[in-house]
Amino acid sequence: MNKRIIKLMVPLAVLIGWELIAMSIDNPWKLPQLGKIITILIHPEKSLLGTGSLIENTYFSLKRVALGFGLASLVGIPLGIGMGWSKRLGDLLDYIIEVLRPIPPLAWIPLILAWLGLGLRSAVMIIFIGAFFPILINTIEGVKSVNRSHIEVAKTFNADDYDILRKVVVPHSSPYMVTGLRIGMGIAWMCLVAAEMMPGIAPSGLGYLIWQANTVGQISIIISGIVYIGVIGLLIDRTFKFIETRYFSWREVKG
Amino acid sequence: MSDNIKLVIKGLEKTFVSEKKNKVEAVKDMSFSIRDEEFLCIVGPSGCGKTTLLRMIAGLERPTSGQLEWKAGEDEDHRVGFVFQDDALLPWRSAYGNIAFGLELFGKPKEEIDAKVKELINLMNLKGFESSYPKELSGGMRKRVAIARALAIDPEILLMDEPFVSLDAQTRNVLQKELLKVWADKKITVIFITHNVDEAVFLADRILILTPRPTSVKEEVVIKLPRPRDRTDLEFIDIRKDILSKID
Repeated sequence: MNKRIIKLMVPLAVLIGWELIAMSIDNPWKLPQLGKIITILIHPEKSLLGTGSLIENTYFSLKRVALGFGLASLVGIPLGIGMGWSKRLGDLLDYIIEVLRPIPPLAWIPLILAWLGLGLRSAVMIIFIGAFFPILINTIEGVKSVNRSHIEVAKTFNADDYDILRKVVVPHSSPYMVTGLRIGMGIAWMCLVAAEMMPGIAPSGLGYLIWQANTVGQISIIISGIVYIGVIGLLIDRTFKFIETRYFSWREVKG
Repeated sequence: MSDNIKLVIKGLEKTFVSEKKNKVEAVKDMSFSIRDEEFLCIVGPSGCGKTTLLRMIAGLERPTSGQLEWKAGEDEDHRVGFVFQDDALLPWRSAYGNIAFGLELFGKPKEEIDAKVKELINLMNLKGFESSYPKELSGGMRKRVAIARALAIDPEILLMDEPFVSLDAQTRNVLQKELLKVWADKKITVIFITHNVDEAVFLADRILILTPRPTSVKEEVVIKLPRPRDRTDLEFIDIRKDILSKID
């Protein structure tokens, strides 16, 4: 049987099961029928619960992610290169990174609110924390795994440190960086939605919309918000996967 | 081969100090010279410090004492081409990009790089593989790219550290012949390290036999056999036997 058909079988069964159960319990406060959800999904421009439309809320969410993730990349990649390249800098920052890294980003929310107050800054900061560590750690790992003989080849051609960084270290580590960016983006997206559900962080975004819908028991809006989050997350991940296969096909897979 | 001396090595020594402050002498009182356009092979017991010697000539390792005296070089920085034991190709660069690597680092203009790389692609029989990545190339092709990359910068000496050790016998023989052809056509100077005596006798104008660590020159053997050499030739076999008996 066609692979695609096999893959579609379970999701289809879930949808059919859903519709059957929804019809039999006939209670939209617990499980709305698919038609109701689809109506919301195909009208993403319609304002919901006075919190703005799906499109508007997606825009606010994406903007926060872009800012927090962008900042995390701008700090994480250069710092990762520095820590991987210079043993001294790596040693200097090793302990602090190892202590801070395992803390779930959401644990910072009370402190961030106390220090930065309500609003965009706090949301961006939480995303920053979530995305920063995977980007940093993967970049360090990439730089540290540079093949010594590649550096020596460059040295026999009179390369200085800057040449080696630019022509050997960065190209070698770029696939590691993209992996870090992909993982960081996934975490950023999760942190964002959770942060938006916290009271007072920001009165907009997909997380906020879901939470508002929850307070008035609008299950179909909650599910619509979740579908948007899922689809956007999937698209972002696919974009990174595309970059990985398109630009790093030269990688030698070690078996 | 001309009679001009290219490089004189005088009393070269290298002592490594380990983390536990133990001193390991790798090279001790090494002296020899190499002539312009000469093909010099260096053989010796494994782990004796052959690679350290080559790395010092390449400037990758600083000698503890002794001198490297370059003669008649117009360049101040004395370019050497180094072919590593593992080919050390950059996996993110195509064959073309790898060959161009040194020229880029020396800041050559694009047209010059392009002309030079194309010349070497022809010379090393790499036509059709310009855009292949190292992982797509066979062991022999990778070696050709590594040699082309070292030759691209017109080095004063081509240094080769057991370059063919990982190849099957047939590919190795083919590459030995190709290398000799390039050496004769381009009139380059080669220092070639190997532990394969057969390879050394096939290639060299002169063979240096090294002592075990700390290594120095034990003996030198000039090979006067005409080229192309025949491995089954009695004289060839005698020379090989003689050298083998001299390696500890």
